[in-house]
Amino acid sequence: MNKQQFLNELRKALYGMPPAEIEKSVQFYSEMIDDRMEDGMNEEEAVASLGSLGEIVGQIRGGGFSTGKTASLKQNTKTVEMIVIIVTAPVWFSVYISAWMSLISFYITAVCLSISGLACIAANFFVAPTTEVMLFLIGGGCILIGLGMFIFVGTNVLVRLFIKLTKFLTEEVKKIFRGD
Amino acid sequence: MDIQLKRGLLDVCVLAALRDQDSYGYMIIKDIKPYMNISESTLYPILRRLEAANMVTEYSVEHNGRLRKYYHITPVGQQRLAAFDEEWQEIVRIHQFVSRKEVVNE
Repeated sequence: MNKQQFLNELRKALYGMPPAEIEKSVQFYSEMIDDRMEDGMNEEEAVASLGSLGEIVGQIRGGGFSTGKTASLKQNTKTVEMIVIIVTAPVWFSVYISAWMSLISFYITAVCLSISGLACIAANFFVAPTTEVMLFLIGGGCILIGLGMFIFVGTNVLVRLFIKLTKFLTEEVKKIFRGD
Repeated sequence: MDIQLKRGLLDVCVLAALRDQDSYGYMIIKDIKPYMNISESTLYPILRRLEAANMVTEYSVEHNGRLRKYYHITPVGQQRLAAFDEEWQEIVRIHQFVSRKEVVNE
């Protein structure tokens, strides 16, 4: 395992602890690896000489440096957060659903625009238009299809961002309810 | 060595390693190693504990383009070391009692 892999694993294994504690531990071990490498070890050796990740994580979690006082204070804020999340659920949940609905309507708009664009172009085959009308129909159709595609691509980007946001918020809420 | 005993002694060893000059994690381990077996994973919680007890403070110094954390012993930490000297006399008496080398007369 190289240094970066080790630190990533450590970060993962400490998941759920206060972020500042995690950062402190990661920095400590990062410094230890650097010092060992400066002392002549190669990267892999330096990581291996630290011992097992399980032992390291056990020591950090069981270190007894979090005092009961701050823990209970934190528990109180967690409870308040939980209540706020539950009580405001009718508000945020409907906002959340309507956001998804708007995204879906964007997609529908995109599809409709593209279909009407195609219809404009297809209309040429059903009527016998003059050159001006034919050019107008083809030009207008192209503009409509372009607009449809533009909205479609834009909506894709929005959907991806929204899924990311959902994942992030879900994790945060989970953390509160698990009592980490 | 018994784990409880070792734990208490290691705290004092870390303070002793900082008595004369500020030091950083890897150096502390190197200084203590000849006397007691200590690893990074044991040192980390000790440093955090000593910090919480206000016996050491920490600060960062740039070294080879990265930050290295130095630890400094506080007056409270110095007091702890002084107290250990006295405790040790007690331990010596306890040892005599345990090993029955001689009867303690008070």
